[in-house]
Amino acid sequence: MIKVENLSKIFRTEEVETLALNNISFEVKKGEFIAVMGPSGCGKTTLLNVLGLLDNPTSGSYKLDNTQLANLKERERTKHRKGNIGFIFQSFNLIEELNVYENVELPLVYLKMSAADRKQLVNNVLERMNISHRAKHFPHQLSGGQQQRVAIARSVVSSPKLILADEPTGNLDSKNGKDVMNLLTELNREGSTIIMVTHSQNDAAYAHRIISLFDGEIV
Amino acid sequence: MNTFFRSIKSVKLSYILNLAGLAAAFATLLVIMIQVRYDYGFDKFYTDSDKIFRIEFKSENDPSSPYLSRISRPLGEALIGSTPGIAAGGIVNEEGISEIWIQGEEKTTSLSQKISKISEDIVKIFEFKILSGDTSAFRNPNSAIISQSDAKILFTDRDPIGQVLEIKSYKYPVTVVAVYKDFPDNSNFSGELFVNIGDEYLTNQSEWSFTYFVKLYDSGEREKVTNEMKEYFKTTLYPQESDSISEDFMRLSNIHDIYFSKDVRYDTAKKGNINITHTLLSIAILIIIIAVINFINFAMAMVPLKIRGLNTRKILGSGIFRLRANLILESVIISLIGYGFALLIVQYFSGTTYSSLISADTALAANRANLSICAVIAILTGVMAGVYPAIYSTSFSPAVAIKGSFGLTPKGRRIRTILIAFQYIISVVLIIFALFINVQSRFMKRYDMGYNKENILNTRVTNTIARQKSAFVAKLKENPAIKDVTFADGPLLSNSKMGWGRMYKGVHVKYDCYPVDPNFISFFNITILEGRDFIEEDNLKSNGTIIFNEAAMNAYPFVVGEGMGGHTDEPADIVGVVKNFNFQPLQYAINPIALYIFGTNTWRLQTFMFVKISGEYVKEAFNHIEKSMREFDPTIKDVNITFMDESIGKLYAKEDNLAKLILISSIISVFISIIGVLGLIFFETQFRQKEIGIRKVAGAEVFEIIKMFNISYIKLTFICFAAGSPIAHIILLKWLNSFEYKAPIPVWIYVASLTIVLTITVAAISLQSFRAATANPVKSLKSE
Repeated sequence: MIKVENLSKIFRTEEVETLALNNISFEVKKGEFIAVMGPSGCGKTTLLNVLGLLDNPTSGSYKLDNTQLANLKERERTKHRKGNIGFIFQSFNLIEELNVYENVELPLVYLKMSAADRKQLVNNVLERMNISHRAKHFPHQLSGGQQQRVAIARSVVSSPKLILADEPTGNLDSKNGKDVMNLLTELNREGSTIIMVTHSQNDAAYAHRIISLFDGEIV
Repeated sequence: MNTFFRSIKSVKLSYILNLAGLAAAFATLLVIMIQVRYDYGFDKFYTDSDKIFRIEFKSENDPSSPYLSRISRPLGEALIGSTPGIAAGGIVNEEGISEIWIQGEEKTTSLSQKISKISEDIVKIFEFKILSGDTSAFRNPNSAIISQSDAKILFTDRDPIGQVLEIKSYKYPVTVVAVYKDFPDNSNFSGELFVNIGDEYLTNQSEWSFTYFVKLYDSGEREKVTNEMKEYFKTTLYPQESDSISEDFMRLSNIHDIYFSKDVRYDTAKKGNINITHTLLSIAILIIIIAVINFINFAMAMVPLKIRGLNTRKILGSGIFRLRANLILESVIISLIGYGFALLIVQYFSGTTYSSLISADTALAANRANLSICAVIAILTGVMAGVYPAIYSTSFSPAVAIKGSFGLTPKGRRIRTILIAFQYIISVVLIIFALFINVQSRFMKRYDMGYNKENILNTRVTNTIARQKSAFVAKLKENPAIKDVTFADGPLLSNSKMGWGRMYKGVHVKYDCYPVDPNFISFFNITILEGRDFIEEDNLKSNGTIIFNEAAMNAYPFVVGEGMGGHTDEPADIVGVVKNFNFQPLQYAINPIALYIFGTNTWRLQTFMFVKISGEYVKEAFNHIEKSMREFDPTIKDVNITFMDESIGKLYAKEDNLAKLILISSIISVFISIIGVLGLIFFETQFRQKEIGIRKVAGAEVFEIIKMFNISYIKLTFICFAAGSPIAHIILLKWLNSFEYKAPIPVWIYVASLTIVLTITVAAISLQSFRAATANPVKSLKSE
C-alpha cells in the first residue's frame, strides 16, 4: 500500500542544514501495524509528516496505493489527505472551543458530508470509543485518556486507509496508555493500516513490525 | 523602557497598525478642531462681543415673514437714540470690491479690496486697534481707515496717514486718516477699506439697505432694550400703525449668532453652519472613540505576550502600582508618537488643496492653542487606553499567570468583539451620512429651479457697456454661438436683492425687487400664470412695471392691472404674475418677489448679463463675449464669465466641502476600524495557529480556513449594519430638517455602505488570514 523509495528530507535555515531523513526506502502492506522507533531527533516525526502529507520530502518517491504523492502542491496534498489519512498526536490536539462531538465531526465537515450522515458516523464512533456520554463536553473537561480517545475517534471517523499515530501514549498514564493501544490493535484487526511512532518498547510490542531510525536512516 | 522598545520590536506590525490608526485619528481631530474653534470663536474675540448686536426687522404685520438684516437709515439712527441701554450704535454698508490706488500712482500699485461705508461709532463698537493715525479725524465723508496689510501693500515704507486714495467705483477720492490692525480670520470684517458714510441716505425712508449695530451697556439687558426699542418704534416713530404691528417685529441678534443664523434675509455676513460645526465636532469625537477602542483592543491583545514578564516581576517584588504606572506610561508614549505623526500629516495637509475644505488656516504655526488642546487629548487617549489593560494584566494571581498561557479567553474576545462592533456601527453611520450629503448636494444643484439654466453664461459688465446695451447685444449676436442676451440688476440666484417695503391698500407689504430687462422672463422660460409678459414699450414708460411671483400674490392682496408704489412718484403698473421660481439658494423657501422694469427714470443701469449660448460652440462663445466686452470698454481688466450652473454650484460650496470633509472623515474612521480588525485578526491567527493546524490536518483547505475567519466578521458586519442604519436614518432625517428642499433618501446609500464595509473587511481579513492558513501545520502542532 505504501512504497517509499530513496526518501530524503533536509531542513535548511540560514546557518544550518539538517538531514532529517537520509535516503530511506521501505514498504508497508495494507492492514499492517508498524512501529517506528528511534532516539529523539532521528527523524521519526518528519517521516510521519511526509507520510501524512503534511510536508513534502526534499527528494525521493512516496507512493500511496500506487499514486505518487511526493512533491504535491498544498492544495493537492489536502485533497489526498482528506478522508484518507487519520492522525493521532501525543498531545491530542483537540480544539478547545469545540466540544467532543464537534471535534470528532471536523474531518467529515471538510469532506462536505451532510449533517445527517455526519451525525450517524460521529455517534457510531463515539459509541465505539466509549465516550458518547461526553459528547457535549469540552476538551478541558476530560481526562487525558478520554481526550486521546476523542482524538482517535476523530482520526478514524472518516474510515481512513491509513492511521498515523505520533506517540499516542506519550502523555498518558500506563492504564490509559494500555487502553489506547488496545483500541489501536482493535482498529488494526478491523483492517486499518497503522503507522505509529513511539519511544516505548512496550507499545512497539503491539505492532507487527518495527522500523528503527537512527540519524535519518533505517537501521 | 528597554523592555518597552524590545516589545515594540517583537510585534512590529501591530505597533505600526496601531500608530497608523492613532495618527489618522489625531490628524482628523486636529483639522476638525481648527475648524470648530474657528466657528465657535467667530466674532467672539471682542472684549464686548456679547454686548454687540445687529438690529433686525421683519414685516410688521406678517409674523411669519423672515427677519431682514437691513433697515433704513432714518430708522436706524432713530433707534440708536431710543433707549438709554444702548451705549453706542452705528451703520455698516458693504459696497463690494473695488480697485484702489494711491492718487496719481494708478500704474504702479493698486489692489482690489472690499469697501465698507461706516459711521464713526463702528470703530468704537468693534474695538478697532488703531496702529497709526487718529480716528477723531474720521469724521468727513471722504476720510478712510485702511488695514495694516493693505497699507503695507500700497504704501510700503511711506506713512499712509494723509495719503489720498482713488477708488474706482467712487466719484471722489478718500483720505487715509488711520491704519487699523487686521481683524482675526474668524471675524466678519475681512480687511476692507472703511470709508466714512457721512449723511448718505440719512433722510431716505424707503431705502432699506443698511445694517445697524448697537452695543449695549449690559449684555443681560438685551430683552429689556429690545422691548424699549419696539415701544419707541410703536409709540414715537409709527404711532398710526401700532395696532397692526405683530409682537416680534424686531429683534437684536448677537454678532456671534449672526454667523450661524440663516433665516435672515439680505444677510451678506460671513456664514457658518451650526449643523456643520456640530456634525464635525461629533465626527471628531467619534473618531477619537474609535481610536481609543483600537488602542484598548491593541493593548488587550498584547496582554498575553506581556503577562508572564509582568508577573515574573511581580514575584520578584515589583509593586503593582509601579507596574500599572509603567504600562500606562507606555500607552501615553505610544499615543504621543501617534500625535507626532498626526502633526506631520496635518503639516502636509495644509499644503494641499484639501485645506481649502475648511475655512480656517491649517498651518501648524497658526494653531498653537489647537495643538496644545489636541496634545492634551492625545495624552488622555493614552491614559484611557492604558488603564484597563494595565489593571487587567496585573490582576491575575502570579502563580496562575506565569504558568498558564493566556490566549484569547472567551471573555476577552467578547469584549473586543463588542468594541469592534461599536466601531463598525460608527463607520456604517458615517458612510451613510457622507453618501447622503452628496445626494442632497447633487439634488440641490439639479433641482428644477423654475427656469432654464442650461447653457447660460453670466458675467458682470461695466457701466460703459451697459450704457451701450443695444449696440453691445447686436455685436454679441453677430456670432451664431450666441442665442440670446438679457440683463438684470444682479445674479438671479442670490441672497441679496433689493428689499422693498411699500404700503398697499393699508397693508405694509415687503418683497424682493429684481430689476430686469423686458425679455428676461422669456429668456429664462419662466411661466406666466396671469396677465402679460414685459414688452419693450415698458422700457419707454416714465413709471415702473411689475410682474409678481405667486408667492407675492398669495401673501398680499395684489391685483393685476392695478397700480402700486414703485420707484418714482408715479405708481408702478402690476401687469402679470409668474409661476414661483427659486431666486435664492435652496436652503431657503420662495419668498415674494417683483420682477421690475424701471422705464425711463431708471435708478441705475443693469450690469449683470446673461447670455444663452449654443452648447456646441462654448469656447467661441466665451471668446466672442470677452472680445466684445473689451471692444466696448477697453479699460476692463478682469473678465469673469462663468456658466450659471457653475455660479449656482458655488452657492453650495460650503455644503460640498462639508460633504467632502465628512466623506474623508468616514473613510478615516473605516480605515481606523479596519486597522482594529486587522490587529485583532493578527493576534487571533497567532493564537489560533494550532487550531488552524489541527483543522488542516483534519482536511481543511486554505479557502475553508480563510472562510472560517471571515464568517464571524461578516456576521458582525451585518449585525452592525442592522444596528447602524436606523441610527443613520434618524440622523439623516434630522439633518434634512435644515433644508427647505429635501432629497428623497435613496436605498442605494444603505446598500453601498454595507458593501463598502463588507468588502474592506473581507479583503483585510482574507489577506491577513491567508498567511496563517497557508503556513505548514507541522510547525504549529509541534510547539507544545
